[in-house]
Amino acid sequence: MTPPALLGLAVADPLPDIMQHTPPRRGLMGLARRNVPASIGAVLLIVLTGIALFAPWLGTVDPLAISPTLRARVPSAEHWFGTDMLGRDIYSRVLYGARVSLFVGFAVAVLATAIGAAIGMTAGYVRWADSPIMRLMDAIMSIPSILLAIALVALTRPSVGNVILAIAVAEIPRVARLLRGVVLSLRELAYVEAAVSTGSSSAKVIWRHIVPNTIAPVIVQATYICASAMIVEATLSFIGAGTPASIPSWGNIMADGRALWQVKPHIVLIPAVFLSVTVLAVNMVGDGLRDALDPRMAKTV
Amino acid sequence: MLKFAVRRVLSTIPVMALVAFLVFSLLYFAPGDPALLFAGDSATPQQIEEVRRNLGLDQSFWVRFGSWLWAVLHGELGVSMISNVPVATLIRQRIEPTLSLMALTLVWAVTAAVPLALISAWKQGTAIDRGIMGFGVFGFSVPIFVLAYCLSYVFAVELRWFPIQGYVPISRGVGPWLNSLALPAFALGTSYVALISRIGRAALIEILQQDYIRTARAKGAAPKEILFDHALKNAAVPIVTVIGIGVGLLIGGAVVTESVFALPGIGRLTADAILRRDYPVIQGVVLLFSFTYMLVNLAVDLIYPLFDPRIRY
Repeated sequence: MTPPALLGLAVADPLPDIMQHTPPRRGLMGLARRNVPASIGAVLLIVLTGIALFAPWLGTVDPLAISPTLRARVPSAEHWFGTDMLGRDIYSRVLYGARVSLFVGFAVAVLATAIGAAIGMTAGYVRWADSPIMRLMDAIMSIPSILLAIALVALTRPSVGNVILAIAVAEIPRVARLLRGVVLSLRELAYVEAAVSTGSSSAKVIWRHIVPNTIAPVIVQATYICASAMIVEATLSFIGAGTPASIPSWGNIMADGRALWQVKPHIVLIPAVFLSVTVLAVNMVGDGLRDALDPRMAKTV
Repeated sequence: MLKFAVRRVLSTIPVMALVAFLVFSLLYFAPGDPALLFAGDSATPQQIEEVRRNLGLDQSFWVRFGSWLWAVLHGELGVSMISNVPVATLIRQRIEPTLSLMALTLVWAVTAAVPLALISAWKQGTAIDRGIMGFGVFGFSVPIFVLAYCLSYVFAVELRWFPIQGYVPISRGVGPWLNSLALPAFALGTSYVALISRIGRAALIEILQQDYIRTARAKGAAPKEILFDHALKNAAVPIVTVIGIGVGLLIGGAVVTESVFALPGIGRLTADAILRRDYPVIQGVVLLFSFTYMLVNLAVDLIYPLFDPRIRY
């Protein structure tokens, strides 16, 4: 279309900007402002990690010390969150329990992503290995993940390490499948073909061209695995097949509180709130990371 | 079309065989000697040896896998180590509450999630959309048993609208049956609603940006017509897919929900079997649930052409 000025028509002066133009903020504060839920989640996670690390210095007593005379008390100045059926201080147990949940979440996320990424990249890059590996992954994925974790824990002695392994096994196929898809689409791209045709070794192509492009989806996936691992750990502990009862974990505290649920709901509710807030925080950080790292997906999901 | 359907059905067989192999290995490598358990405390070494031979435990891994698989194909899943009842019988006795819970959850979750996805996609970026998606993140983050206890405290303990625990068979009336399952189904379905509405919203938003939607808007089609006739029809495939995938979530959740509400179903059977290390029961249940899950997703794949005639098998 010809601009009106060239047609000899009068043109109004451009209107002044209504909004003052402000350059986008850079650095940490800029990032935080652009994604408020993710920053709230990150702050919550930092606080919770602090609670877990400094649990012994936050006015706690021995989380295993029982006092039969002070059973199932409601919250008071003495016991901020009350006591459980054996008279153990719930405040101390919940704070120490943060250690188990956070550790299990992070450990499963790291373990499952590392192994799953290696398997997925192998399947995506090595053609003959693709089909057998992916059929095995399909088979593992066909077993509902909580059920698989339950069965694996039932086989072994309950320990935090075994719980982590059992949950990780169920998550590995999801990472592998994601990574295989990313690698398959990447290796058709021109720059990867160029690298291969100019004689780069497979190892170099993977390391220089494939790996850097998989980092964003892997990190996003890792946060979701972390969140789901915390829920699975609590669920396993809750039905009595998870973290050993001698270790205070949020799932164990809730399992102990089940019997008194109708009369003393706070025993279950307090660790439940901590668990839900932690998982929510991890999910908010995950959503924020996805928005920041993968703008195409951010628009929709 | 038929050729592809047959190929899709056949392609699940190796995966099923692999699942069966994995599940069998679980029991094979389980600690403890079943022969010792079956023979009892006062058995002599000879008797234990005899039990071992009778149970076929002296055979090699592959022979045992073969005979176990043969039995499974005939519907025999072994015998419980605790109650001495065949696992298949235990499952049959307890299938009704689980099927009822799953069916009810599926129905309410899908009828709630699809409208939520539609509203959220139509009002993308508004407060309503953010509210629905916020609820979604919340639904993912609260563990099922936490939600279950909160619901039972408010609606069963305090308000006494629903029973705290227990299951009423459908044969004793639909009303009491629904009443006994309302809270469990709500607790189990919430994360499922979050999952379906989130994926459904994503699919719908992508479709609402297509040219033919703009054409429909331009010619003045009513929002109802655009959403239902143009958008939802085309978003049906991803929505149906996620409904199928989410069944895995429901199965895992049923174990927990049935424990909280004391429903005598397969989930409860699983939880009890784990606490008592009743390996044949664990094995049977894991196998049953995995096969169910696979068959559901197979069925989902096969009904795609119903929703999208462009997909031909």
